[in-house]
Amino acid sequence: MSVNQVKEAAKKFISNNGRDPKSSESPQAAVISLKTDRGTKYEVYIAVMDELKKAYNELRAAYMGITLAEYLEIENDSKKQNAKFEEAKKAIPYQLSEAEPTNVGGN
Amino acid sequence: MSKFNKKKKGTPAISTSSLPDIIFMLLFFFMVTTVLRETELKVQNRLPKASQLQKLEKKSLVSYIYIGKPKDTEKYGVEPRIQVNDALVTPKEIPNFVYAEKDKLDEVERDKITMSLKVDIDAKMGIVSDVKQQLREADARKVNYSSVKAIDKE
Repeated sequence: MSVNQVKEAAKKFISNNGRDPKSSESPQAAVISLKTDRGTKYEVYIAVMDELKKAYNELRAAYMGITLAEYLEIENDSKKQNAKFEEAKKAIPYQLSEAEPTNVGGN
Repeated sequence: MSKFNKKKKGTPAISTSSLPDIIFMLLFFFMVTTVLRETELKVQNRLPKASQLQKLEKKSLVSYIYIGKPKDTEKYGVEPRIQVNDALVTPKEIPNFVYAEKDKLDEVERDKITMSLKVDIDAKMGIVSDVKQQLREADARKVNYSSVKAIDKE
Protein backbone atom coordinates (compact mmCIF):
# COMPACT_ATOMS: atom_id res chain seq x y z
CA MET A 1 0.00 0.00 0.00
CA SER A 2 1.37 3.41 -0.84
CA VAL A 3 1.00 6.40 1.45
CA ASN A 4 -1.82 8.00 -0.49
CA GLN A 5 -3.92 4.86 -0.22
CA VAL A 6 -3.80 4.98 3.57
CA LYS A 7 -6.53 7.58 3.84
CA GLU A 8 -9.16 5.63 1.91
CA ALA A 9 -8.35 2.40 3.76
CA ALA A 10 -8.62 4.17 7.10
CA LYS A 11 -11.91 5.82 6.16
CA LYS A 12 -13.30 2.49 5.02
CA PHE A 13 -12.19 0.88 8.27
CA ILE A 14 -13.55 3.58 10.59
CA SER A 15 -16.92 3.95 8.88
CA ASN A 16 -17.49 0.22 8.45
CA ASN A 17 -20.19 0.05 11.14
CA GLY A 18 -20.14 -3.72 11.31
CA ARG A 19 -20.83 -4.37 7.63
CA ASP A 20 -17.63 -6.34 7.18
CA PRO A 21 -17.13 -8.66 10.16
CA LYS A 22 -13.36 -8.41 9.79
CA SER A 23 -13.42 -4.61 10.05
CA SER A 24 -14.51 -2.18 12.79
CA GLU A 25 -17.86 -2.34 14.56
CA SER A 26 -18.44 1.37 14.91
CA PRO A 27 -16.42 4.58 14.62
CA GLN A 28 -16.37 4.81 18.43
CA ALA A 29 -14.82 1.38 18.71
CA ALA A 30 -12.40 1.75 15.84
CA VAL A 31 -8.79 1.95 16.93
CA ILE A 32 -5.96 2.23 14.45
CA SER A 33 -2.64 0.87 15.57
CA LEU A 34 0.41 2.46 14.05
CA LYS A 35 3.55 0.38 14.21
CA THR A 36 6.88 1.73 13.13
CA ASP A 37 10.34 0.34 12.82
CA ARG A 38 13.41 2.00 14.26
CA GLY A 39 14.62 2.41 10.71
CA THR A 40 11.45 4.08 9.46
CA LYS A 41 12.08 7.49 7.99
CA TYR A 42 10.48 10.26 10.01
CA GLU A 43 9.15 11.84 6.83
CA VAL A 44 7.17 8.69 6.04
CA TYR A 45 5.85 8.48 9.58
CA ILE A 46 4.53 12.05 9.42
CA ALA A 47 3.06 11.45 5.96
CA VAL A 48 1.12 8.45 7.29
CA MET A 49 0.01 10.35 10.40
CA ASP A 50 -1.16 13.18 8.18
CA GLU A 51 -3.16 10.78 6.02
CA LEU A 52 -4.78 9.24 9.08
CA LYS A 53 -5.63 12.64 10.50
CA LYS A 54 -7.06 13.58 7.16
CA ALA A 55 -9.22 10.45 7.12
CA TYR A 56 -10.65 11.36 10.50
CA ASN A 57 -11.06 15.02 9.59
CA GLU A 58 -12.90 14.19 6.38
CA LEU A 59 -15.22 11.83 8.18
CA ARG A 60 -15.92 14.43 10.86
CA ALA A 61 -16.43 17.12 8.24
CA ALA A 62 -18.88 14.84 6.43
CA TYR A 63 -20.63 14.17 9.74
CA MET A 64 -21.01 17.89 10.32
CA GLY A 65 -21.99 18.48 6.71
CA ILE A 66 -19.19 20.93 5.95
CA THR A 67 -16.06 20.91 3.84
CA LEU A 68 -12.65 19.87 5.09
CA ALA A 69 -11.35 23.45 4.95
CA GLU A 70 -14.24 24.67 7.07
CA TYR A 71 -13.64 21.85 9.50
CA LEU A 72 -9.97 22.76 9.92
CA GLU A 73 -10.95 26.35 10.57
CA ILE A 74 -13.28 25.29 13.37
CA GLU A 75 -10.70 22.94 14.82
CA ASN A 76 -8.06 25.65 14.99
CA ASP A 77 -10.42 28.19 16.51
CA SER A 78 -10.21 27.16 20.14
CA LYS A 79 -11.95 30.24 21.50
CA LYS A 80 -15.32 29.53 20.00
CA GLN A 81 -17.26 26.66 21.50
CA ASN A 82 -18.90 24.69 18.78
CA ALA A 83 -21.51 22.15 19.87
CA LYS A 84 -21.58 20.45 16.49
CA PHE A 85 -17.81 20.03 16.55
CA GLU A 86 -17.92 18.48 20.02
CA GLU A 87 -20.61 16.12 18.81
CA ALA A 88 -18.55 15.09 15.80
CA LYS A 89 -15.55 14.53 18.02
CA LYS A 90 -17.62 12.19 20.18
CA ALA A 91 -19.15 10.36 17.23
CA ILE A 92 -15.82 9.85 15.50
CA PRO A 93 -13.09 9.92 18.15
CA TYR A 94 -9.48 10.10 17.04
CA GLN A 95 -8.16 6.85 18.38
CA LEU A 96 -4.64 6.05 17.38
CA SER A 97 -2.49 3.59 19.23
CA GLU A 98 1.23 3.60 18.67
CA ALA A 99 2.94 0.30 19.18
CA GLU A 100 6.51 -0.05 20.38
CA PRO A 101 8.80 0.10 17.36
CA THR A 102 10.42 -3.03 16.05
CA ASN A 103 14.11 -3.16 15.32
CA VAL A 104 14.53 -4.55 11.86
CA GLY A 105 15.95 -1.61 9.97
CA GLY A 106 18.43 -0.67 12.70
CA ASN A 107 19.11 2.87 13.79
CA MET B 1 35.78 97.17 -2.77
CA SER B 2 35.46 96.57 0.87
CA LYS B 3 32.19 94.90 0.17
CA PHE B 4 33.90 91.91 -1.37
CA ASN B 5 36.68 91.71 1.08
CA LYS B 6 36.62 88.42 2.65
CA LYS B 7 36.55 88.57 6.36
CA LYS B 8 39.22 86.68 8.00
CA LYS B 9 37.78 83.95 10.02
CA GLY B 10 38.79 80.48 11.13
CA THR B 11 36.68 77.45 10.51
CA PRO B 12 33.61 77.74 12.69
CA ALA B 13 33.30 75.16 15.48
CA ILE B 14 31.04 72.27 14.55
CA SER B 15 27.78 72.57 16.31
CA THR B 16 27.40 69.74 18.77
CA SER B 17 23.87 70.55 19.75
CA SER B 18 22.47 67.69 17.64
CA LEU B 19 24.91 65.15 18.99
CA PRO B 20 22.49 63.81 21.64
CA ASP B 21 19.86 63.40 18.93
CA ILE B 22 22.19 61.31 16.86
CA ILE B 23 23.24 59.20 19.82
CA PHE B 24 19.65 58.58 20.85
CA MET B 25 18.66 57.76 17.34
CA LEU B 26 21.41 55.14 17.18
CA LEU B 27 20.45 53.81 20.61
CA PHE B 28 16.79 53.40 19.67
CA PHE B 29 17.70 51.92 16.34
CA PHE B 30 19.71 49.17 17.97
CA MET B 31 17.11 48.65 20.68
CA VAL B 32 14.43 48.11 18.07
CA THR B 33 16.40 45.87 15.75
CA THR B 34 17.97 43.63 18.39
CA VAL B 35 16.30 40.29 18.92
CA LEU B 36 16.72 38.36 22.12
CA ARG B 37 18.95 35.42 21.51
CA GLU B 38 17.13 32.57 19.89
CA THR B 39 18.42 29.06 20.15
CA GLU B 40 21.10 28.49 17.62
CA LEU B 41 20.51 25.29 15.73
CA LYS B 42 23.31 22.79 15.83
CA VAL B 43 21.43 20.18 13.88
CA GLN B 44 19.89 20.15 10.45
CA ASN B 45 16.23 20.88 10.65
CA ARG B 46 14.12 20.46 7.59
CA LEU B 47 10.59 19.92 8.80
CA PRO B 48 8.24 17.50 7.07
CA LYS B 49 5.25 18.78 5.16
CA ALA B 50 1.73 17.99 6.24
CA SER B 51 -1.71 19.36 5.48
CA GLN B 52 -3.88 18.60 8.52
CA LEU B 53 -2.21 20.89 10.99
CA GLN B 54 -3.31 22.16 14.33
CA LYS B 55 -2.03 25.35 15.85
CA LEU B 56 -0.23 25.30 19.14
CA GLU B 57 -2.31 27.19 21.62
CA LYS B 58 -0.15 28.70 24.32
CA LYS B 59 3.39 29.32 23.21
CA SER B 60 4.61 29.75 26.80
CA LEU B 61 3.72 26.13 27.53
CA VAL B 62 5.72 24.80 24.61
CA SER B 63 9.28 23.54 24.80
CA TYR B 64 11.18 22.51 21.72
CA ILE B 65 13.34 19.47 21.08
CA TYR B 66 15.32 19.36 17.87
CA ILE B 67 16.46 16.16 16.22
CA GLY B 68 18.60 15.89 13.12
CA LYS B 69 22.01 15.36 11.63
CA PRO B 70 24.58 17.66 13.30
CA LYS B 71 25.74 20.55 11.17
CA ASP B 72 29.28 20.19 12.47
CA THR B 73 29.80 16.65 11.23
CA GLU B 74 33.52 16.66 12.00
CA LYS B 75 32.88 17.19 15.68
CA TYR B 76 29.65 15.32 16.28
CA GLY B 77 29.48 12.72 13.54
CA VAL B 78 26.74 12.13 11.00
CA GLU B 79 24.23 10.23 13.13
CA PRO B 80 21.12 12.26 14.08
CA ARG B 81 21.41 13.89 17.49
CA ILE B 82 19.04 15.54 19.92
CA GLN B 83 19.31 19.21 20.75
CA VAL B 84 17.61 20.98 23.63
CA ASN B 85 18.24 24.64 24.29
CA ASP B 86 21.82 25.06 23.11
CA ALA B 87 23.26 21.66 23.80
CA LEU B 88 23.32 18.27 22.16
CA VAL B 89 22.10 15.67 24.60
CA THR B 90 21.57 11.93 24.85
CA PRO B 91 18.05 10.56 25.30
CA LYS B 92 18.85 9.87 28.97
CA GLU B 93 19.17 13.60 29.65
CA ILE B 94 15.70 14.41 28.32
CA PRO B 95 13.84 13.92 31.64
CA ASN B 96 16.14 16.46 33.31
CA PHE B 97 15.36 18.94 30.57
CA VAL B 98 11.64 18.35 31.00
CA TYR B 99 11.86 18.91 34.75
CA ALA B 100 13.82 22.12 34.21
CA GLU B 101 11.22 23.33 31.73
CA LYS B 102 8.40 22.42 34.09
CA ASP B 103 10.07 24.37 36.89
CA LYS B 104 9.82 27.50 34.79
CA LEU B 105 6.04 27.24 34.69
CA ASP B 106 3.42 27.94 37.32
CA GLU B 107 2.41 24.96 39.35
CA VAL B 108 -1.09 24.85 37.89
CA GLU B 109 0.21 24.78 34.34
CA ARG B 110 2.88 22.13 34.76
CA ASP B 111 0.76 19.26 33.50
CA LYS B 112 -0.10 21.18 30.39
CA ILE B 113 3.48 21.42 29.17
CA THR B 114 3.74 20.55 25.49
CA MET B 115 6.90 19.19 23.99
CA SER B 116 7.24 20.13 20.38
CA LEU B 117 9.45 17.81 18.38
CA LYS B 118 11.18 19.46 15.49
CA VAL B 119 12.58 16.51 13.63
CA ASP B 120 14.51 16.54 10.40
CA ILE B 121 12.88 14.61 7.56
CA ASP B 122 15.90 12.35 7.21
CA ALA B 123 15.90 11.24 10.85
CA LYS B 124 14.83 7.72 11.65
CA MET B 125 12.02 6.68 13.98
CA GLY B 126 14.50 4.95 16.31
CA ILE B 127 15.77 8.15 17.83
CA VAL B 128 12.31 9.71 17.82
CA SER B 129 10.83 6.80 19.75
CA ASP B 130 13.75 6.93 22.21
CA VAL B 131 12.85 10.54 22.90
CA LYS B 132 9.17 9.70 23.20
CA GLN B 133 10.01 6.96 25.67
CA GLN B 134 12.00 9.39 27.82
CA LEU B 135 9.24 11.98 27.64
CA ARG B 136 6.81 9.40 28.92
CA GLU B 137 9.16 8.69 31.79
CA ALA B 138 9.31 12.39 32.61
CA ASP B 139 5.51 12.52 32.50
CA ALA B 140 5.33 14.96 29.63
CA ARG B 141 2.28 13.54 27.91
CA LYS B 142 1.59 16.21 25.38
CA VAL B 143 3.79 15.80 22.38
CA ASN B 144 3.53 17.65 19.14
CA TYR B 145 5.27 17.01 15.85
CA SER B 146 6.22 20.22 14.19
CA SER B 147 5.70 20.41 10.46
CA VAL B 148 5.12 22.95 7.79
CA LYS B 149 1.98 23.53 5.82
CA ALA B 150 1.82 21.69 2.53
CA ILE B 151 -0.34 22.82 -0.31
CA ASP B 152 -3.10 20.30 -0.72
CA LYS B 153 -3.14 18.59 -4.08
CA GLU B 154 -6.86 17.86 -4.05
